[in-house]
Amino acid sequence: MKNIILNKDGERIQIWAQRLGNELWLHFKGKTFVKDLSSSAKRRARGGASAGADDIIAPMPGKILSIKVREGDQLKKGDLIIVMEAMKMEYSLKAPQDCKVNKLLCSANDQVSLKQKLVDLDFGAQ
Amino acid sequence: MNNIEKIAIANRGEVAVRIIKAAQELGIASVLLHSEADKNTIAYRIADEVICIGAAPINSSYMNMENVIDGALAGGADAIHPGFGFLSENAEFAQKCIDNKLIFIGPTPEAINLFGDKISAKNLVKTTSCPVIPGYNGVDQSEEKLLEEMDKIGYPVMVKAAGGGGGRGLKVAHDKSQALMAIESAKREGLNAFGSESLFLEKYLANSKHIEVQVFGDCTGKIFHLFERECSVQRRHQKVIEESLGNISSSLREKIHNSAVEVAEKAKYLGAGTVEFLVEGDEYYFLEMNTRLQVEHPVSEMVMGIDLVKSQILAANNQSVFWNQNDLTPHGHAIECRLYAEDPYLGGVPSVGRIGFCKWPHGPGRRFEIGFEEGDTITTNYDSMIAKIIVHDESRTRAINKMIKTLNETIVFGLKTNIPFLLEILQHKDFVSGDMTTQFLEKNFPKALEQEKITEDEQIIINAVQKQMSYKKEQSGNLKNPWFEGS
Repeated sequence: MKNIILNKDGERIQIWAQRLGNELWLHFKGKTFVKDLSSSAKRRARGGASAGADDIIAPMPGKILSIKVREGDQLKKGDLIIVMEAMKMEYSLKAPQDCKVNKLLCSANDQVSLKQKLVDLDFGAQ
Repeated sequence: MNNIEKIAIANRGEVAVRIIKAAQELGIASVLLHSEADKNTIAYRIADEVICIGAAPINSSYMNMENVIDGALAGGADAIHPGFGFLSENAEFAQKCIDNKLIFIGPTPEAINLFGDKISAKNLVKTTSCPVIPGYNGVDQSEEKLLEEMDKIGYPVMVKAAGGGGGRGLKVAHDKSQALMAIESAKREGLNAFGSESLFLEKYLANSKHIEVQVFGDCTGKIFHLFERECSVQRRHQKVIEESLGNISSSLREKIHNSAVEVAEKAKYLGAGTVEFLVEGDEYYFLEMNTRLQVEHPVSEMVMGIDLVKSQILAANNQSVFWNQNDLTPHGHAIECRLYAEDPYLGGVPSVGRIGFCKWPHGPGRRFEIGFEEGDTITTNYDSMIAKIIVHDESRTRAINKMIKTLNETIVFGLKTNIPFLLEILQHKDFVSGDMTTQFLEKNFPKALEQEKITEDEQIIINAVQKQMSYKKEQSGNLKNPWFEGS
């Protein structure tokens, strides 16, 4: 962890910063920021493919309780796709926008890991 | 006197730390009963002795009565403090402690049973002047019967796993069309979390405040009340921000205190307990009595100037407290925020991992109840609470301001926290005015927080720091960046 004082336009700003793996964590002026330093993030920043950023990924490790859609389904924004459980609580994963279900990559009762891709969505085929 | 010399702590996280410190201040040794997953925690480091009681899953460790009792006996403890959650409200466990000549720091198994069973609790309260809320908790758990009772109670109806607590297995059916789904979901969560599908139903008050009275029965049988807390800010029925005193009129306050004391007296209650009420306008209803220490006990301690955990230990040791009800006067206002490892921009899903760095900005009237520090790991095995942040000031307005400042200065690296969400709540007009109800979060924060765009100025700072950090790495600090002081 590094504690830095920065002078910017006459203002003294105290900054805490720490590099953790491929991320740079910063805290200043009451807020925390995370900068992704990985090569894929750099590719994205240069305008490359978004690597399926809007597909349904597991936001935490847990268990799939039920899948509410089938391959080929047309979904409206907010439609329920998956119910999963983590830390003894249920979470609903919903469609981020209107889309079509391309491929289901998990099934009920699966244990899934953090950031595992669960459903492949197609946002272009309306 | 019972002469407690060593207390076994059957819990984890920040409450285990709280209990160990209270015991140490009283000159009592502590032995922490921990799971295999909890070695990287503060409690593990500060306990006088530690005993591993099983694997990470709660049924192999913290919820396993045999393991907990065996651990306490092996550690030479003469008492067990259960904390909250886990076995804290399990009458069978309290009895097992007694059978093994271990003092259970809490009420009698009879009192736990009495209030643990919703029917007997309601029946007891019905013999007092305290009003109760309409509901169903019968043996007939068939879908037909439950649906029929839901109609009878009138929507919205709350469906809750009977073994539940802390919002787990709890669903609300706002109308008949949601009834079946609520039943199925609550049963599923109940089965997973407590091994029981048994449900109870209760009228759901859509515009009520959650007000709870801290009571305490000392060893002479005297019942004290320590004023009330308000916990209306709940998410999925899990409390997020609590405060003391509550935002209610003083006439209602007196009535509620009297009702709470009457209920506790009727039950001949020993130790710390909380009588929970739902308050709608000038009406109030008994909700339940929690026969344990509450997560939010620090706000009461701050305004009342008392130590509930030490008092619990004294009561169990057959020593009386020094209080006189007339001298118990609240001072100022206290607020507690629960700091969760979760991503507020993803609707509060847990964010697990290792804490790379953390900073708790101490100061006057600021209190940090922490269970983890730098280098520790938050896992998916348990609740994702990292810490509780409590502030105390002369007025509610000042306490809110102090909390905002404190949260601004609190740093956790490596995990996302709900701090941005807490800050939004603290500045919301319905919270600031004190008018919030238990619907506050659902109504005002139905969706995940919108991630704020990084401003140009912020981006400049981030890039500058990134450059500075990589200079350091690659050139061992030889190259100076004129922007930074002393680098």
